[in-house]
Amino acid sequence: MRNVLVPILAALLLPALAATAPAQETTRVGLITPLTGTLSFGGNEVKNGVTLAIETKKTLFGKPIELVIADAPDSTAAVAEMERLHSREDLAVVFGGYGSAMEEAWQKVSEREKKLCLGLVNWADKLTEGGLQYFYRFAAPVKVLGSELVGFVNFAAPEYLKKSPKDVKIIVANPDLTGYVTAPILADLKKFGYTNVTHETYPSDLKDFTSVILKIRRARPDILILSQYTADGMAFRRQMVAMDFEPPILLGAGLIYDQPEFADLGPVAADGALAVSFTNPMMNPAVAPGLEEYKEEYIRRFGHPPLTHALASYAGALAYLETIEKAGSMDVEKIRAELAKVNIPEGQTAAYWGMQFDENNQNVLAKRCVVAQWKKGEYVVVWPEEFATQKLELPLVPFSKR
Amino acid sequence: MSFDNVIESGRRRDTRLGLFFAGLFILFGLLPLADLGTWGMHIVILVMMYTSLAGAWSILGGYTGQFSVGHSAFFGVAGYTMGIMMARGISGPWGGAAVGVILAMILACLVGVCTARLKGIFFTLTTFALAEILRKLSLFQDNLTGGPLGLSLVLPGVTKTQFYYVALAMMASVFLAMFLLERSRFGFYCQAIRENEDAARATGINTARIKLQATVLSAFFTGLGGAFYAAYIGVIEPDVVFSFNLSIKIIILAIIGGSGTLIGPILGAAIVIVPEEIIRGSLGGSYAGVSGIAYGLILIVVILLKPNGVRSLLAFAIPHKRD
Amino acid sequence: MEFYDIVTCVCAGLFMGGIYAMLAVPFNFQLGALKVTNFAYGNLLMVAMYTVFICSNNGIPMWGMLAVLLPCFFLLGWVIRRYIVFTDDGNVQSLLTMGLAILIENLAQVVWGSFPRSLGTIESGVILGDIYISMTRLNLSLLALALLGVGYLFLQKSWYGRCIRALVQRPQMASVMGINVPRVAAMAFAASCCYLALTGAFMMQLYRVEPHTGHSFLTMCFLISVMGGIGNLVGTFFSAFIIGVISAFLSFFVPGYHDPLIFLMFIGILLFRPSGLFGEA
Repeated sequence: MRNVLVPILAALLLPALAATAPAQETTRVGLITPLTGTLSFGGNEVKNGVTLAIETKKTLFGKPIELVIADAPDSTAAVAEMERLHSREDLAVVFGGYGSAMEEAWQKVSEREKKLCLGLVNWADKLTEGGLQYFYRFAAPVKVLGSELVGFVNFAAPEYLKKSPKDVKIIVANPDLTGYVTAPILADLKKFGYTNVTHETYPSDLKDFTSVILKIRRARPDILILSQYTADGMAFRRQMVAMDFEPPILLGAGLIYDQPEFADLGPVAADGALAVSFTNPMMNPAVAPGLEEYKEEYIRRFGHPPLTHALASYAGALAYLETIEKAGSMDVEKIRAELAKVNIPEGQTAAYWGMQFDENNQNVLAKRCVVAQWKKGEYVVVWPEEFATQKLELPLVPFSKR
Repeated sequence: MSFDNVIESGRRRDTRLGLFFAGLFILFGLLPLADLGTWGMHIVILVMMYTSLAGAWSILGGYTGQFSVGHSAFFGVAGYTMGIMMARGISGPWGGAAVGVILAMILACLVGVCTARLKGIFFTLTTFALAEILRKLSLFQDNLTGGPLGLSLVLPGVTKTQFYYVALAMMASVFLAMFLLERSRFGFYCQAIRENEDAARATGINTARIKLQATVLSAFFTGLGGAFYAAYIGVIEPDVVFSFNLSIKIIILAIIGGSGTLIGPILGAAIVIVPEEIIRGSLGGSYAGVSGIAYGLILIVVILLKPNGVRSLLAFAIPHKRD
Repeated sequence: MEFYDIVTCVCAGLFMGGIYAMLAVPFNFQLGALKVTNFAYGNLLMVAMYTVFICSNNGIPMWGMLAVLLPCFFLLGWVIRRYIVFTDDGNVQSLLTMGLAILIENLAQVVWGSFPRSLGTIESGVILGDIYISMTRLNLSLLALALLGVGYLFLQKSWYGRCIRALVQRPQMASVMGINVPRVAAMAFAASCCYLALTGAFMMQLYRVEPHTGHSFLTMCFLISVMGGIGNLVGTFFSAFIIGVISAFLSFFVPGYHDPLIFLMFIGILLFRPSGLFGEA
């Protein structure tokens, strides 16, 4: 019987019995993010951003910072890893990034352990809709993206389409995975008097978008708003090009349209597409101190320009670290007191956003987004003016005429 | 060997078996007293939950021979029902769990009735399709199921130790069910169906009814696991609770340990889950994905070497029926 | 829905069907004839697609790429059939292929990362008024037909093809007749994996690849195989087109319910006509 029990016992008690190596004199913070699984492209960006932030800050309380990283590919793993970070690794502060259902799971763990989960970039609205005391979020929720997008529509429709809201024909399309992104967009559009709005949804792993694009093309929209995901965005755009369908204004709401891989399509296909995203690395460096250096360092280290997530994670992590420094120690309540008072104005971080938390621990100074456009195979910010590096070009030219 | 000796050796075997499992459960019961830390406790809770799920699957797959790759359907139905009912304030956790398990059993009834005449791969594919339909539907139905973000449950004031003992009770009940199944006439019919369904029917066993009952029983425990998951993890997302990966995982655990045996599920869970969690914990940050690769490799190697499950390695230690 | 839409959808469905046929017929061959439930099929396709992407990115022309890819996949198929999935127990075999699928998917994730990659190719199409016909898909579809036709002729007419058919229909007799059953079975499996390599090349012209792409293709394969009848290659061939067209119409009318409806259809066939629309061969 020993033969059975001993291995089982050993396997089960290993976590507890294995001694932690005596720590060098470092200050330890944790990071939990999906490094594997469907969201890992974003998770890796978050990890890169935080790593660079740590290297920029260098020390916390006079000691070098040690980053303990955990991989949380889904909500089950999220709980396990957060438990590990808070209890076994005894970390009072864990940065969390990118993965909405996972974030819900791991923020509960932090709440129960009464330790801090400092959210970096994670846009589901419900994460900061009340009740949590130990979870903070630096980046904006998706409803901010939505309202900024509609703000752009309010600017562009009269300017470039010369139509009033009730005459503008808008189609909003998204796959099953991003319904929560288009929901606030649709609500805001209605609020601003856009009555001619249709909503199309389709499964994200559809192999052939011909029918979907056909239907949309038929409707001849003035504005097409797409909130697509990695699975479908590129394939959709390619078929749009093949079917020679380019609406006068095409807006991508976060993801795919603001990522370097979009350039794989080549300038003819990529050009013209607009993307609304959180303040992103291509914006005018004058508004975001430290942005240029960060971008260069990122490209040098990781071989590609940072995505929005990497920028938000970097700026957020730096801002959090500075606040923790002010608290003087890893005491959770002291840090929370500092976070309650923190007020970094906009325009002082590498991501432009400031930091000030409301009663739901949501950063209210993360309220600006930018619109960028693909021009000549490159991604440049065109709106609003203070963030722009080039001029906006609308309406879009059909593919066949390029 | 005389008849009395056979009966006597059977009783001795059962006594040894009973003592073994009693010992095992006492060990598990006392484990929280050791200082495992919340992570260690979490891993043990996961092992217990997966053991229950593997055991539940085994009732249908191991004992009755119906290879279902869609068991996550029952898991998810129970989990979502509990989540929806609690989110809308219709009931508390126990009520939600009860309704969830009942719905899982109703679904199992439906499946059992419809697939009564299906054999082999066709039954397998039907279960697969069912889980996928539910997953896709819950992705799109934002209002009801929260869409891709899923539902969130809060059970304030419940401690990890309480979850631990609930999981232990769940695991014990699955063991008890399997133990009784092995020694009952119903279990005998199930195994007859597994060995040769046509022959079983020829001897007068109502195979459709037995299969249906086995499916419902299996769904009951799977649903229980689903409700536990919903309460414990607190987040129910379609890509986890209705996923193909989950369905496969429970099959793997059941079969690696030894399909159709009592010790199988817990062996499988210990061999697969514990290393996976530990590897991901220690290496996941710097070498992400190693745990997944290890998972696949363990599975292939174990199945290649010991297709009947690891339990035969421990044959000399665990009391078992002579094959 | 206008006439033009119907024409476009039917064409799109048929072209997609041709490519699905290329994907599903070898799968059905493995499932029905060689009796291997290959859960790793989708992930193997994913590997083929990634290889095509990498070769293309490094400037290797299509011919060079295929010259390397086909033997590699042949070898891969051989190794899998001969050394990994050689057991006859259906359930154990399924588990092995599942394990293989998990292994391949996680390896792909670690090696290639999670971001979807695609070639920069844009499909060329013909637009006649409101009708859209994709020439790229048409050409690929015709090519798929040709390749499948070659395979079919090989099975029917060549000596080796007859060996394979003998092995499929009467394994014991084939053995008695002097056919080296394990080796021929492995070769047949390996040959069907070559089709995977080709389908991978086709798919990359149209689509994108990421570590999880395999799953939805596998689902399609099961669906089309069951619809055509497991073991019925010709039936599978035609089912692929039927599914393609149904899919095109569903994505026009009720895109949100496309997947559940297709799966419901799948279950319906399993329940009421498990031998497939065209019956088992």
